[in-house]
Amino acid sequence: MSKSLKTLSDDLWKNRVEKVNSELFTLTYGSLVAQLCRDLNYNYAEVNAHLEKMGYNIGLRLVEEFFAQTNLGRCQTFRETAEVVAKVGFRMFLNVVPQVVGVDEKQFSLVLDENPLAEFVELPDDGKAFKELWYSNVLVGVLKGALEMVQLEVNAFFVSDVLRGDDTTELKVKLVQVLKDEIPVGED
Amino acid sequence: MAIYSLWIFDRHSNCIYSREWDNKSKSSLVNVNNAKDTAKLLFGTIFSMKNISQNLSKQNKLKSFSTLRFKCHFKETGSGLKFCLLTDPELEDMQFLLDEIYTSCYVNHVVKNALSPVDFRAGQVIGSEPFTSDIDRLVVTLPSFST
Repeated sequence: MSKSLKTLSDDLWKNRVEKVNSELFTLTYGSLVAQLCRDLNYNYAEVNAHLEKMGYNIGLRLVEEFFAQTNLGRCQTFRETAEVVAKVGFRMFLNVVPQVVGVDEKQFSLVLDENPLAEFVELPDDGKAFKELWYSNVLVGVLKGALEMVQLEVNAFFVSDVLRGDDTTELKVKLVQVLKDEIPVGED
Repeated sequence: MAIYSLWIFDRHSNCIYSREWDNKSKSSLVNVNNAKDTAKLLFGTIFSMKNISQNLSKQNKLKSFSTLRFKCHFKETGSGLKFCLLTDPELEDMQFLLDEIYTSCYVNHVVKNALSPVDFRAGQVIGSEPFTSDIDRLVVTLPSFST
């Protein structure tokens, strides 16, 4: 399974996916976060929430692109979901493969050795940002949105970020519930 | 006339798009019968057929089924979208067409169109004209369309 996922994602990355200049991408995201911080008066809790909401809306759409390109079906287990998110999803859209750790049927963590969003970034030295801002919080939203479309309601959040001086950048995903496929309401 | 109609249902089981081709009257029906019984019965049938095929074997997938006069080609995406193409029963496998409709029409005109919703509310439909004309271009040019 994992072997074939690797071949699949290699092929996707080489032949199918459209690419943009990574510096342009990083700088655009950086300006976005910086602008949000200014607009929201450096209220970092709100900035986090905004980034997550943006990510959520991205995730809802991104998942269709994912299925259209990969032709994969739904995963059978949450473990499999973790593998596919890391090895195919992240690879396809960001060209990084986070390590999957602490995985069981209810949760997993993604450890990002490389984070294309956070290159060249230093958090502002205002005494708050290091404690409150999750710079890459858009990823949290993307995961939530994309997984909701496959009927997985999850809770996702960053637990550490190298930008804050932590050793690793870790994103935790917890399964809240598997949503049931909806059936139409009865007529009579 | 071998391809009759296309129906798309979203993950909330609403009919978000329908396209019916009628050679004789040259009329083209888009999103006209979304709320009619045909759409609902079709959804019900697909829903049951899908469940039966999964009960028979876990890895099973519904691809098509036919009746005396019709064949229904079916594709469900991981995100729960259901594409359903009604054709003449003589027609060969049409999965490639459903794949193409999803990857080029749906992804390009709905997903990548920031003004179009992707999670539809009840009663919302895909109203995009380029979407319909792209689908028509794919379907009408097939040799099997009017045999």
